[in-house]
Amino acid sequence: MDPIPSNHLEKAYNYYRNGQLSRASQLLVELIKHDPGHEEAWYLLSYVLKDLDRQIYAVQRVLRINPLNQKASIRLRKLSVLREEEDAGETLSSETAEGSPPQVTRYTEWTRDQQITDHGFSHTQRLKFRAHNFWRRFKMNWNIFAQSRLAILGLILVFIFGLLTIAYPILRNTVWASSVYDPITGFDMKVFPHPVPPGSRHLLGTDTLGRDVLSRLLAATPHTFVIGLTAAVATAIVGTLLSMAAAYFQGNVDTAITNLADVFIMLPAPVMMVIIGTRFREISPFVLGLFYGVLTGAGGTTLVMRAQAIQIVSKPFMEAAQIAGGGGRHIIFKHLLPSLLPLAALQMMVAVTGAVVADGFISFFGITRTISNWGTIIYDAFIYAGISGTGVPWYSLVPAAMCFSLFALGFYLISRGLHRVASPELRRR
Amino acid sequence: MTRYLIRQFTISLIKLFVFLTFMFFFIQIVMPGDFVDQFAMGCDAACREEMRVQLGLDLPLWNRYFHWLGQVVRLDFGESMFGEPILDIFKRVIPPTLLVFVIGTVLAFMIGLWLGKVTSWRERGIGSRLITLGGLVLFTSFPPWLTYLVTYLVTKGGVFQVVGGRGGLRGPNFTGLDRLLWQKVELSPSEVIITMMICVVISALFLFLLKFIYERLTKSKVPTLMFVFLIGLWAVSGWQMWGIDDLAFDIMTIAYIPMVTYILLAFGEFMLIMQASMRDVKNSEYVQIARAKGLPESTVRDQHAARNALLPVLSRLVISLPYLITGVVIIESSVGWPGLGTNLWNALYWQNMPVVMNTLLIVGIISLGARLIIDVIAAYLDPRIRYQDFQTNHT
Amino acid sequence: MTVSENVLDVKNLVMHYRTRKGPVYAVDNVTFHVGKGEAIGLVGESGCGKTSIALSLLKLLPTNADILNGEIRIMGDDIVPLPEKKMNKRRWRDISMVFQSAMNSLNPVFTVEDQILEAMLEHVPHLSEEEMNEKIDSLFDLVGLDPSLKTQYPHQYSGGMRQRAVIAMALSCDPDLIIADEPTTALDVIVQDSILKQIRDIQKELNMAMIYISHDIAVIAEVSERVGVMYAGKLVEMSSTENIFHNPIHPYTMALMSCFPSIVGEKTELVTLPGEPPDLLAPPPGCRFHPRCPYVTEICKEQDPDYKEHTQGHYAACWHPGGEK
Ligand SMILES: Nc1ncnc2c1ncn2[C@@H]1O[C@H](COP(=O)(O)OP(=O)(O)OP(=O)(O)O)[C@@H](O)[C@H]1O
Ligand SMILES: [Mg+2]
Repeated sequence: MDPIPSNHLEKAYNYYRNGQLSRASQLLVELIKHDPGHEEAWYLLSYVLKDLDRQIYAVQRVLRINPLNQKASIRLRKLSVLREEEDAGETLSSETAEGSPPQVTRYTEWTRDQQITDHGFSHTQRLKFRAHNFWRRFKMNWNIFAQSRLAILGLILVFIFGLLTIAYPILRNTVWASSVYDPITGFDMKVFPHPVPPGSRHLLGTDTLGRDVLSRLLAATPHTFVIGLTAAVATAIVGTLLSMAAAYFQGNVDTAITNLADVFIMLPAPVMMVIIGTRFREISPFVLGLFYGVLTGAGGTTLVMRAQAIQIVSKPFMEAAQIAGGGGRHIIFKHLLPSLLPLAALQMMVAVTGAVVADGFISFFGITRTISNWGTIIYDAFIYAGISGTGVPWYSLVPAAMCFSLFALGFYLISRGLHRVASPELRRR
Repeated sequence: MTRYLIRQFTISLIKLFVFLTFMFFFIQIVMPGDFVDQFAMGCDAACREEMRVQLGLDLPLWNRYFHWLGQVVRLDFGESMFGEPILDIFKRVIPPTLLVFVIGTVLAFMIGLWLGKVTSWRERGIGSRLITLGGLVLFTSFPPWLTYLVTYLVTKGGVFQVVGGRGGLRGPNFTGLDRLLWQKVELSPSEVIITMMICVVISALFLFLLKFIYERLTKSKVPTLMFVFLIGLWAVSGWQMWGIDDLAFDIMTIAYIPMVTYILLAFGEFMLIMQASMRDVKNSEYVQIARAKGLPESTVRDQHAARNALLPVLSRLVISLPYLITGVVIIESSVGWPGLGTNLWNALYWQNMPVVMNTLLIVGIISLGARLIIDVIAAYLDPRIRYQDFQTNHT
Repeated sequence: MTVSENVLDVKNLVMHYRTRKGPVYAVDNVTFHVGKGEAIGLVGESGCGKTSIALSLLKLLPTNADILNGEIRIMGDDIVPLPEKKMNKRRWRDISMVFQSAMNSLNPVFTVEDQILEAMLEHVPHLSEEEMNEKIDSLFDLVGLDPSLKTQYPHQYSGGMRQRAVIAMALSCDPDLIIADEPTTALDVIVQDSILKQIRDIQKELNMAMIYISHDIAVIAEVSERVGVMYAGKLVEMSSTENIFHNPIHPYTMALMSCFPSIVGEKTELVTLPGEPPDLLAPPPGCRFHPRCPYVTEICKEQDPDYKEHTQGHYAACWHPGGEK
């Protein structure tokens, strides 16, 4: 199926306002063909179509997609009153006054139904509708995302790192003897001298102190993974919430949030982490990640995302969404949030890089007592190479350094894929 | 325009003040112990108390805060807890940082923009993909490792010293300078760096003016590469005129390591942002029209697409500035470059609060200044900003 | 063919977009010509390939598009094999174009004057600065803008003014042919009308050839002498405006006309044809219109009708011209 430019709804709305109904309906039909569950398109279509029956059909479709759409149910009620009048008119002209009583009952029945639609939904039913809609959108977006092979590669990368976080405990308890493969005290007495290059016994070689590099890397992965992920999620959540609030309330709230973000942005995250780290030397990676994420989330991420959010809210597109039956919540969750998510993903990538590097850095300088993460592996390589004078320990340096880049690369590729989801102009390629 | 800038500046000062206040309390409340605990390890309790009274550390936090505030208002930086006037410390450590930060940022920005522009124009080419990947890998690499790699490559296997680390932080100094050369002169490295920077800035400003006039008169473009080269040439001849060329070159032989590292680390981000921005602009209607007008490809790309794509990148630069500064700090402490960053780590380690607070103040002022410059550039490039302001000024 | 009397001759033009799902034949075997000083219209539903034709004529296609076959002769020279450098010399000089979106057609960071000058410096550099300035002033007058506005930036213009400025820009190098791709759709109704009149008057006054593209047959009728009707990447019928309105041959044209009450009447809703335009990724075999055609027979489903001249100057591609059996 051909991709549909994102501004079709907007265009259609403009045509509708200019009275070019046929053009508007063409665009809407195209949109609906592309996504039969497009609530706004159906709703707008109910204004654009000329025939009353078709209008009613369109509104009914809206309600089938989202039975909680208040505007649509009101409109359906209005339309059905019109329908009744028209029918009544016809019957009056053809058969005199006889036909009216049953129609009145039909109408009251109808309104009763509508009341049920409005208020009679049980909680689970609502949830089911929501879940269903969510799933539908998710599938659609997933397809777009999956078109990009690089984005899938990114997902795989991050997934592999996720797997690696549990690899160490498993290997340790099955095949790796603790005397050899302990990340701190391990030493392989069977080989000499250390470090040894990669081989079958040590897949990535050993470091200057005779420790297996792979086991050290694996043991360090959970720490880094947790920090990166926590920071990413925290920055995205804080940034998204603040920027949505700024865009939705505007005015004073917006000013306050922007100024707050301006202050936060001055807080140099690594410096803050040094301060926290000296106090809480055994700080858990989760808290550290959270700390980093909130700091950057309320600062840079909010500033970047707010700019975008404001732009979205002021788009005529929002106006179109509004006439298409959107209340405040609807607009925030159905329009603002989806358009902001890819940007949040990009910020996540930046946060992952920043958090992982900052954490590596403060443990590199021995501020927190993190025993093993990728930063300390690099640090150890430097230090012990200097002490024992064995030359550059590339075997332990390169894998650890690559881990930093690959981890961040995974997130970057994912964010690129999400960018495609958000901006349909790019999809064609 | 000026009114807008002044307003921006005052608001920023207030934010800076809020930030510093926060940091003052945050550091002292969160960090365990104080300067005396760190410094006077061997003293007994009475001796420590005496030292505290001497340094004013026995006073309540609020009291010290207002004392510090009073100093800032009087533009008096005060003394470090070791007794050295902070102004002297700053005279020593700010120039090296500025050298790396200013020149590095400008170069990284230009390289990043240029690469971003070129790669996004021919997105599908293998070269573009390699460059993008390379930028990404550099941008996401671990700074100490990158510094090591650069040192290794340029010194062909030379030793890399881990500065600080668990063994405690080492005092920063210019190791690697030619002692004999510096013995002959009265100047300190920082003074030389200041002169060097002045030469660069003056020649850049002057050449910009010339370029502007030349382009207005002849309606043609000066190639950017040639322009940058000219600035370099002028700056170097400026050094010669001041008679500091030997010293300057000597400094450059050690300064380029943090500089190159910083550029490698920073350009990737600019490149990625520029790419994203170019991608949005590339398909826009006015770029299509520019093509339809039969303009040469390079004009369409540079004048029409890149000029517009630059605007969002500039506003992103404002946001990235603090991160760039912390990047410099990290790199400095990795190579032991005796700048503001290394100094800040040391001060934090000793809980030398006057130095920490004033360093943060300076960092804040540098980033505010940079922000103001970016605002001016953005207004120069974007008539929408320029005129919006013009209108509000007159109504 | 040496020097032709036509400004533009398009012959068997085939263009497709490469997409992940396969090629999209957006322009399929299209043949038409535009005489000197003639205004023709192209009409068709959204997505039928009108813009694709226009972009092909300027060779401004996106990177995933290829011209597979056919000739595009401008003043007799085929431009299809022309390298980019030579093509650049002909763009704007020979063919210029006004795009659909008025709001985004001007570069926000340059003054309107600079953007017009830029094109003139490229194509008519022999003019002196004064001559160029005079030219711009007269163009501004022509499109109904105050020449003193020329030093302003696009964001200081309204949508209508911008589109006028774009038209002035398109006229700046005295092109032989101007393509107007739905130049009024992004504007509101009142401005639409006045710009439309202006375009028509200017075209008459300068005696310049024009291709006017629109989905709105009423607009087309107002500005053009001949009309081409497009359906799913193909030109299905082309003739004088009179013929198209009063003796349409192709059932699709007939359907379009029947939906259209009168040229001057208010805009009312098009009673949409049953069915939908085909997916260009997998067009139906035979005549592309057959699933929606009331006169469909077996042959329509199997063979694509030739595009040929039925009466003098009246071209169409249909097995049952005029609905005959
Ligand atoms: N860059 C592209 N890549 C792939 N397909 C494209 C591209 N541009 C257009 N198409 C497809 O080609 C077909 C023709 O598009 P075109 O823009 O020429 O239509 P149009 O008649 O101008 O429509 P409209 O009236 O909406 O402007 C459409 O089906 C469209 O989806
Ligand atoms: Mg079009």
